[in-house]
Amino acid sequence: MGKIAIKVTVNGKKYDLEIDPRLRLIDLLRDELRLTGTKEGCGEGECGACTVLLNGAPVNSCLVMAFQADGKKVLTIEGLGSEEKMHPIQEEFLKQGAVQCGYCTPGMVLSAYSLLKKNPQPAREEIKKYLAGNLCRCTGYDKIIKAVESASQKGVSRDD
Amino acid sequence: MKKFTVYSPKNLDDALRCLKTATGQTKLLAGGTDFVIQLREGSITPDTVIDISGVQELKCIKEEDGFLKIGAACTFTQISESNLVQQKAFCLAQAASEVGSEQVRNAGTIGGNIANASPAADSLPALVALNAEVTIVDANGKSRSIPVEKVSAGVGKNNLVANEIITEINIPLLGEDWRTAFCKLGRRKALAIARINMALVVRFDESAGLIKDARIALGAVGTVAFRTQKAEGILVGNKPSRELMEKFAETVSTVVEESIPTRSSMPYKRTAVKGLAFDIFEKLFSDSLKK
Amino acid sequence: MTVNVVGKRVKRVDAVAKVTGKAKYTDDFMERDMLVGKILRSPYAHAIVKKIDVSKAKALPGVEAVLTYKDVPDNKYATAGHPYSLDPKHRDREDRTILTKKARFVGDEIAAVVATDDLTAEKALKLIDVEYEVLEPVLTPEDALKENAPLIHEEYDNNIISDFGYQIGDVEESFKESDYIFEDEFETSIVQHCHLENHISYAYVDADDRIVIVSSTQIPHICRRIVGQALGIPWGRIRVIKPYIGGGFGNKQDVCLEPLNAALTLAVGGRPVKIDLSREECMIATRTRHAFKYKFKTGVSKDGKLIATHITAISNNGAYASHGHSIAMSAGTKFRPLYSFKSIKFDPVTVYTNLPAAGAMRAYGVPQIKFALESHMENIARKLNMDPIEFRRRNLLGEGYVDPLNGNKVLSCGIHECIAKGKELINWDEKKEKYKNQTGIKRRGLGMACFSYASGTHPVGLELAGARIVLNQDGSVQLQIGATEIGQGSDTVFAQMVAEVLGIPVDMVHVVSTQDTDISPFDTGAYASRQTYVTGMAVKKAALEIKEKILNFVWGMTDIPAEALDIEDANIVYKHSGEVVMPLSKVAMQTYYDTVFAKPITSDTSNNARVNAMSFGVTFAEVEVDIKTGKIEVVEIFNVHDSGKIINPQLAEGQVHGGVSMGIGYALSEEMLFDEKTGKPLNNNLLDYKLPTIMDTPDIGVAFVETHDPTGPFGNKSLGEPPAISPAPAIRNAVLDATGVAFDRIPMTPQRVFEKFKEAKLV
Repeated sequence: MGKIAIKVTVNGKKYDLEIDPRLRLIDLLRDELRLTGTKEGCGEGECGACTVLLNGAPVNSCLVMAFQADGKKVLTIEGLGSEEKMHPIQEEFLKQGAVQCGYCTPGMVLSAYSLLKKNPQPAREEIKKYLAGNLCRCTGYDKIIKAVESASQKGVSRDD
Repeated sequence: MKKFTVYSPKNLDDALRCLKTATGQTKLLAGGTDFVIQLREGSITPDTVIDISGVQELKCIKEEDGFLKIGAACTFTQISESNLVQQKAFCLAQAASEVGSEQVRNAGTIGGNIANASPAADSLPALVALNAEVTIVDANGKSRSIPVEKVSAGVGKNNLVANEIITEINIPLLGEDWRTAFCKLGRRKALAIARINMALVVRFDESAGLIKDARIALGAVGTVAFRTQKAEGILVGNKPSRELMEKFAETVSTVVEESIPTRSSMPYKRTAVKGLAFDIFEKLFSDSLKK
Repeated sequence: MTVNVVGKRVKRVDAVAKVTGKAKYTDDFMERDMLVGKILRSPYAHAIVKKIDVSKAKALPGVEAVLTYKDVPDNKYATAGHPYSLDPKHRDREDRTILTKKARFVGDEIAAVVATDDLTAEKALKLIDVEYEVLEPVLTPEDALKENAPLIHEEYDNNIISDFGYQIGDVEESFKESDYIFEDEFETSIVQHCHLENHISYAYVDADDRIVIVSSTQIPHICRRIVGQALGIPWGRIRVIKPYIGGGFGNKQDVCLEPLNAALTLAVGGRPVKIDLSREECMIATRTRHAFKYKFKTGVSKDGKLIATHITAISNNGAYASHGHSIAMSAGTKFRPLYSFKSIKFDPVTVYTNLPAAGAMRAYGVPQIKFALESHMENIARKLNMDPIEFRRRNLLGEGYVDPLNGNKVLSCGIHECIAKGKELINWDEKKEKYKNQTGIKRRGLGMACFSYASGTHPVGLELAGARIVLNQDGSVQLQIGATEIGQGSDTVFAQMVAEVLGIPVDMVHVVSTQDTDISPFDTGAYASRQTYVTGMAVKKAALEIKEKILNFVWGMTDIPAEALDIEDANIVYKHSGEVVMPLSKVAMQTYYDTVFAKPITSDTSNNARVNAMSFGVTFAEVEVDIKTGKIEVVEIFNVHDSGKIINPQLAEGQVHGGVSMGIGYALSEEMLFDEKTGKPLNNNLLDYKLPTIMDTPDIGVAFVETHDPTGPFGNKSLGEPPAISPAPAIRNAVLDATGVAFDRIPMTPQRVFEKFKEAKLV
């Protein structure tokens, strides 16, 4: 009943890790790999602040056991863009003023990124449906939708 | 939380072997959307966890021997986006697309939804109306098949024994003249637990404009989703019309009333289900209603 | 002063850090060997601990300390984020200790453990044996006020925190002059802030034996004082650091975790201990919004003039006073600058119950009274057969109004323009005509509601704010403030103000976003929509001061008189021609390195605001009501605000969007539910508590009527809280318009709506 060996690629970097089976993916990212951009808001998959992409699909990292990431690719906010070179979606969040307290932002940006990968020209209702698992208490969502629309119009999903 | 041993089998044989050799309390893990919460709140305390999310055979959706076969570890996203499901069991694709949120749909599986026996599970009414059967295999490879509504043994409980696993959901294929739809009423538009959900599967003779057959299932108004012959009887042999829609809604309303007579939410649900009945009826027969 | 930066859509100064995940919140700092603190909470709403045995928990390997009420100082303290008052009568009710022997709500804090990790701490909590004597819980204010009701705090009779009110004029006399008397009753529910980041803090003792607390707080300086009071130690021995915080909305204007956190680190020899509340804990064991019951009795003349109103209010405060009666008094005060009444009698009572403690939440008692008052206005207008907008217009006060009780004078008021603008935006007249005589299942209606609000707490509370500016070598400046950025954008508007006054680009203003009570100037913090108004003036003063010092320094360098100089685009220029004299960076280098005249330039000032600017606004809403399911859909909603000059339109719109969304949740879906017999919380999580998702939030229209208030640093007035005030009554009035059914309670959940429709025989 010891530790479990897993191989996981996080933000393009490969890790061979020995982990406690009780760790969740969010614990692995934040506490072991020190990637603190992923936030925890509820621990029950209700708020979406901990959203990361697992093999390209958004999941609540608080509802995935760390060992389930074995052999998979994880993308966190740190892997999407940096201060020097932001991803165009991040730039649109800036431009449109879609950021307030910032706590939902990493998860929201990753969900938006995933949506545009899957559906580069989403209708407003499609944006809403896709982002519905990411709660925000500050913005009333208005400028977040505008940021996604604007990113979509600029065709940012094709940029990478 | 005590420590536990983890197995992550990649095929069904391995999974069954794990089931056989596992010691102590064994729990199956698929999407994790209920499992992780239960583990953390201490309502489950497994010694062994078998993660079946990587078992290939459980992740297929296929058409075979007159059935639409859906592997138990298929996620809701997979189901809602599957062309096959959209064509052959549209109401199930709709139900899958209304589960929780994108994140939950990407992780949560149909097998887990059935096994966890939540009265409000969104996939259940669709599966019940589709006459779905569930294949259950035990550690020795012996399999049995039961109707989907028989898996639940009350809220949060199921009829599976310790060394059993749900492998597949089998839906008898419907002919070209069948139509299906799903509707849900929640307290908000997303991240919502159904207050009522409903699936309707009908055989419709377009040339005659007649409903030949109908199967209606209701969820969240009892411990498990159920069929209502009473409401089905209203539809069969009739032409879709505003009058029929009203009658249908009234009947569904009585069914809800009889199903949860003492619950404080009954007066509300009894009426609200009418709105849902209108919606689902309109979805299925918009062509006839326009005439 | 030419306006270049103030009023512009400048990008947030912290947005890059936040959008890239680099911004550090409390949980993102890693101290070596951080221990975990967890709290043992009462399962009973009202109970006394008869026996408590922690020996098994203490014996568990990995447990470093277990504290019960016996192990913490027996100091009673108040948690509300108000400035300290030198007048003992003006202080908040001191009614709690760090841990308690008497449980007063389900979730009350009986004991706490410190362990090496989460799992051990959880396990240790389960090993604490407690024997409770269970008392009868008092779960409604009405029950609490009954004669012989069990006392929640023995020292306070009748479970009353306060029933202080006021009377202006003589309502009984005024009623006699009235042609009509109208009476209504309204009720609001308990709701919660639901900031995405739960309450969290960690604390340790540093090498100088001082307690350092890093906390997600809106009020670091107040927090420091309250920790000192709770522990009975000198305030200077405490240092509070506030990094980025994931929303507050008033809930972090209360000192919830920090005193216990300090006690826990002291119990383990100063090692770092973190308390990180779960969502379930955060929703019951921090603060909530007070539920109110209002009764209005209002006298009106034949021609639709308000004459007198007698308001009776019961405020459900829950188990501990926190902000207590201040909430009811804020409500009773801030509505006054809107409508003209000859007489007002305000009779509030704030009552303890065995429910979670209510505290500050966005707009501080005003959403409750405005739901009631604006619904009442609508009812009266209908009974008078008057257009509801015309009825309100006839009674508006406007500029020049002097409040008879606090002396505040309204110096700017755009309420008439706000109404006109809102009416136009929603296409009121045309739609009103169109929606007459509807009979179908889905019916539409229009509603509106007005509000008035204040900027800060003057004259009730001290309004002190500090600002310090340091000129860097490169000509940029750093701005230090004690005011806190909690998502609302204060750092950005302060940067704009400095850039504006100083004549430098915004990106040359480095705002020190983290508040550290050892370093940051004194400021009471983020609440009462005060910072842009009160702290903004301190920032402006500091910028003016440093500009004067810079120009004087240049005078010394060049012999050009300071008054002939100005700063434009980071250059020293001749004021008369704009010709560049030298770059600011050159001056800055001289201030640091000139071997004779070097003297680094700083300014450090504070603002003690003894003014208060009233802001105004209106919500217009259109709804579609489904008679069968009871579902209410907000089709269109517009908020129009007079917040004076808008410093940053993009941030201002963001504040309005968020506030309106919160207001829609308040109107339609949000409510904390408790078991009626036991007081156990039933929906303290984000799945069962229905705050609006992106799909539940309609497009929100925003407009501003920009007046200029002479007391604001740039003509600006409050904006942070006001957007949350008027959506609920506007939606309620729209539902009334659509269906003829007058709701007297929020939230208007489908089930409640349906029941009311049944009563009204609509279904």
